[in-house]
Amino acid sequence: MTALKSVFAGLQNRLVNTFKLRSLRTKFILSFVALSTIPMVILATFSYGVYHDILQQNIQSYTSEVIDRVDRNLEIYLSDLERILELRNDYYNLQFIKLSLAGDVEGNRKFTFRLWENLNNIRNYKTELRDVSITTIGGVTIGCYGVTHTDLSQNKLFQTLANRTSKENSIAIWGPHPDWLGGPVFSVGKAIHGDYDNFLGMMSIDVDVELLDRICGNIRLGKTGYIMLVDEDNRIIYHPNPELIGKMIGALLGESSLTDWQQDFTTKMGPGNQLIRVKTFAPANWKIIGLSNRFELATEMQKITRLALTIIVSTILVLTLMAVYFAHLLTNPLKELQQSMRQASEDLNTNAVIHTMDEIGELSETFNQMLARIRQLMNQSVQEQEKMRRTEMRALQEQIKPHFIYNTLDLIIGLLETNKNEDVINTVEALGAFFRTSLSHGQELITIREEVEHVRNYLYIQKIRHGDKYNYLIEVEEQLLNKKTIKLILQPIVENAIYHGVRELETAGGLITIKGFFMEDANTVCFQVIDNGVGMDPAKMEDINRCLRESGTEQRYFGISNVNERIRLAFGPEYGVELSATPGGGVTVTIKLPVVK
Amino acid sequence: MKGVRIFCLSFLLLCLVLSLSMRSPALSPDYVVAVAENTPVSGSFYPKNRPITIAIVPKSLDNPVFVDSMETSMQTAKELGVNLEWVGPFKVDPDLQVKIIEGLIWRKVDGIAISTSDPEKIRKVIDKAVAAGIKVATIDADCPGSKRLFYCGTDNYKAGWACGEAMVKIVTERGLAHKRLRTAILTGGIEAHNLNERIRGFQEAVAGKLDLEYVALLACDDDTTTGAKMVEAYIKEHPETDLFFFAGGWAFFGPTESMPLYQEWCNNGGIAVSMDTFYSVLQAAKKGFAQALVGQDFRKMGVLTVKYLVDAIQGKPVPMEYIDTGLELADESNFDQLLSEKKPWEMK
Repeated sequence: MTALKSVFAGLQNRLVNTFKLRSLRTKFILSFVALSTIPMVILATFSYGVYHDILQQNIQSYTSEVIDRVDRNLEIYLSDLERILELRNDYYNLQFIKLSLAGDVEGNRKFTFRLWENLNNIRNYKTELRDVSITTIGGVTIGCYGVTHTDLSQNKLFQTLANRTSKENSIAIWGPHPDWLGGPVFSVGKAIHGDYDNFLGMMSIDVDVELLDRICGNIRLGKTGYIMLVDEDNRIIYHPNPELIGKMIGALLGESSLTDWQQDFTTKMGPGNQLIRVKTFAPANWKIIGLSNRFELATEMQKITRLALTIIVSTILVLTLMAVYFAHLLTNPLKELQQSMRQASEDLNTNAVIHTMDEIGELSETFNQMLARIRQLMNQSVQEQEKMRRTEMRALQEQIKPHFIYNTLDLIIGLLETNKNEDVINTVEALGAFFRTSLSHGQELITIREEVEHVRNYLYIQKIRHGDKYNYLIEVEEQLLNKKTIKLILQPIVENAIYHGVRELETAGGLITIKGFFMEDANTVCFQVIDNGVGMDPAKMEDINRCLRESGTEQRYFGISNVNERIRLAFGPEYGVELSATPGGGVTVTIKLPVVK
Repeated sequence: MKGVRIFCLSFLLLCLVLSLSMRSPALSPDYVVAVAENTPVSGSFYPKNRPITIAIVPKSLDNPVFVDSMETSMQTAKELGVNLEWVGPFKVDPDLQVKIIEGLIWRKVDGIAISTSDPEKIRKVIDKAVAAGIKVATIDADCPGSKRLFYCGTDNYKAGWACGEAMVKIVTERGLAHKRLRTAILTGGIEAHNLNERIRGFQEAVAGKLDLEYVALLACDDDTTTGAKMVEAYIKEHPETDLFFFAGGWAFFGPTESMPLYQEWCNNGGIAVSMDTFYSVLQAAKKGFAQALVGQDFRKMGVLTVKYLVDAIQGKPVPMEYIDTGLELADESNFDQLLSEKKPWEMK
């Protein structure tokens, strides 16, 4: 169980890592899929609506066409029957009626047999004809099956024709009813008039309602739609389900559906979401009703939608795979570059492997160039650090050179011999402080306060040695004292001022002034060591300044060059040392440093 | 993690929306059947206080032998104040006859008289009619084994027997009684009980008296034209035939000019005995197409059938189950007399 959980957890992590939304790869895939899917979905939705409308229109026009066809077929059939009924005024028919009404059975023998033969021949013209008969106003009917008696009051066809005038010569139709054999028929008839336009009876044809099934039965409006016929009393006279024949249409479609059917091709919605189209078959005043199921429309639409969905889903799948592939193509070099960068963070000697010539390839190349530059700068930095150590060491060596120590010790001995014990103590303290600052526990940066104290100790010792030959003055701004500087920058300059400046004076009165202040921009610290000594040849001064501006010339003018070199290595070439002539004689050495807190 | 969830949820939602949009509602059944009670399409064929209605169902309408019965039955019905319907298939068709009788049962007529074309098929529908309370009789052709009330018509066995006796007499007179004679028979329908009874009567009457070899049994389905054609064709193929027994006179109902070969056969000594003594049959016999005839009384059949059916409907007793309407014998001796008494049908 635990193992299973760990497997799931692993899979989840892999999935999460694979589809990190913040990753370029996921963004690319999502954008690609979204950009290609959204238009497709919009197009599919739009097409769905348009197709739905077209399909519905097609169904309506197809239903109308089918209803028209049924109407035409019924009309054609009726016109055939009408032609047959034109035989009603045949001599034998009239004689039979007259003799029958007269009650002459024997005299009617000839006509009876003749009519049986004729009527049976007529019936055989069409397979749907059940009976062809002549009915007299006496209620005697002669037809294909013999002679019967008819209750005229129950015969709607007869009643219709009897109530017409002799001028009305059109056919009459009696909707589905049982014939005398009990089978369902509908009857078509025409009146027979005597010599004085007197109504004698009628000739009628009983048609098997199967005819309606033959005309309408095979028609299917879609899969479940169908045609039905309704008589003038709103009774169903044909329906594919025989059980419904004879029932009222209102019960099937709802009473409200019976209204507004006066015009042909009225379209209504019926129960069960049925689309109803209606046309009146004028000769019989029947309604031809086409019912199609709107659900089928939905079924059709479902097919289309299913196809569209299949295409969309397949396309999304394919596009996703393509997006993954393209994302892989695009992001893999980036990942390789990222990998290279990661390696480079640990080992600068690696290079990104360039596979492509595109932007990523250019990026890789630039990265490689950057790496090369970093390596170069690193080497340079290492060299500079090394150089810094070296110059610092040499500066230190300069400060602890043996004759300075011997001279100072001789000075102390001299002071002891003259019992200037206090001076001895001060000198030894100054010397100790001098060397303590020089070493500074190996620290490279010290406070300006320490640097100033360091040069002050040095000047104290030198002043003891040299007596009143010169004097010194230290003026450093208080705010400057806590800022930092590299060590041992003032002492070599002061040493030069003593040995090449004020000591060379013929008379006493030499002065060394050390000034420390912020320059105007407040970002630069400036020290000036000003002596009023013998001065310097301008050409030499220029030579020294040139040496200071150019690196690698520290072998000459060692002390000042060492200071200048260390400043530039530590803070950059814009800082350093510069010599100038002190107005009135002497040399002014200006040291510029950045403000280091 | 959140991004993955959003992506998956969006995709699932899209699929769900699309699938829901495509969900088709279940198709409704073809027809909505929840409708109001069916209203009867038609009422009874007859008003409640209608007169008694009797239907006579002949084997076929086109058989002229029933003309006399039809006319007398109609006149009798008129006299008795009842309606009489004469209904049947135009040509012999037992199945249609059954259907017609069923129609009469549906219409609830008061009485039915049937000339049975196929007892096996008609028996059931007769019993059905009886069960429906209709008085049922048979006329001309009985339906033995049925629940019919009575039979009114010729005793067909006796009629056949009379034909057989007439044949024995003629053959004996011609001195051919000792000879084996090839005999052909024309009947109407193979299954017709009345015709089969005639054939049985004929065969039993001649048995032991004549040596007959029955070489053919021709069935014309009670059709006059077919009967004449079949006889003519048979004689053409088998002129050696010695005797012909006609179980009905169909072949002679029409003009005899259509049977020259048969006429020649008769002239060459062919002997024929036929049922029926209608005017046209008598005419043919007088021309030599038959030497003896045995007739039925169709007029009497019509009268008695209606009378006894009405009696039965009115609850009166019927005198007997088998009402024999008698026979009429004819030979050369009375052809002219009978011709003078009868009238041609004149149906065309």
